[in-house]
Amino acid sequence: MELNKVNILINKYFDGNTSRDEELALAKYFAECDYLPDNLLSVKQMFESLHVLSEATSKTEVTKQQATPRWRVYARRIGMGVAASVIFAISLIAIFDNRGVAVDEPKMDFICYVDGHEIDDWQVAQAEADRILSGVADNMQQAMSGINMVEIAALKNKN
Amino acid sequence: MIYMKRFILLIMICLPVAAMAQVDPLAPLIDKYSSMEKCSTIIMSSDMLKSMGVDAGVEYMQVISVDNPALISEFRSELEHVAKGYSLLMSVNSDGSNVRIYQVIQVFKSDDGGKRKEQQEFLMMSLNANQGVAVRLVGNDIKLNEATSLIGL
Repeated sequence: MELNKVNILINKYFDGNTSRDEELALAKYFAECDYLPDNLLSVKQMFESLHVLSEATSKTEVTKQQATPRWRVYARRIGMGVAASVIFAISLIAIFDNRGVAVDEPKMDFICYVDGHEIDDWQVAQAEADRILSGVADNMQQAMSGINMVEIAALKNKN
Repeated sequence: MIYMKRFILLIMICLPVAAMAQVDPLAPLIDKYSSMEKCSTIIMSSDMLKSMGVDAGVEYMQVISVDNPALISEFRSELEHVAKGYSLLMSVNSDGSNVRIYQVIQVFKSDDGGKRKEQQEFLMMSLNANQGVAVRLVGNDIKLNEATSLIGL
């Protein structure tokens, strides 16, 4: 390529008006030419570095595409979504199942101390409660029978 | 200014304690008599009571029984102090036994939407020379006739 044409193309390149073919022609010229005037040496370096950069970028893109094809990325995402949904569904079932159990099974909560000792067996605690309450019941019935006797006596006096 | 801060801090510390004391007046007595000989303390959930045949709207029941004659007078004065927050429904004295039933109804604002919520409490005391028993029933809608079947009324 003639030097004049090269200068024209370079000016066109810096103005942003070159086509892809013209840029390739310039790059080819700089790659193959043995002698260059001083004012074009910096331009040659720039073209060479741009060429290396574009090659590196295209190689990286190719490598990326080869490593993870798009369908595989989508398949992985779908798989993760399905797995998350399954885990969520299982945990929901577990929660509702436990709720059902909690409602069905009575909570035999109690705290019981007898003679300073804690009682762990709920049947023993129930027996102790029965013993105490039956004692109270005896007192109550005795007291209530006293009231009844007073009422009967009052009625007899009225009559 | 510093006294004002201390005063506010004191109120902030005392308020929850006062609120707890109001909610469960038998708790200090239960703590006290749990560790003593010839004394029994029982707290039962509603399901435990249902298994005993009591389904009277009671959320839980507390029972303190003191079978040591040396402790009866002290227990009596402690119960009378607790009963100051209740209104007396019934008191019967017969052959040295004293049976009393107290009631209190507390009204709370519920958490959802400010609806009023009632909590009923019945405190039953049975004291004689040899034994003292206190029974406290707490619930929203206690049916007294069913609850008192616990103590043979």
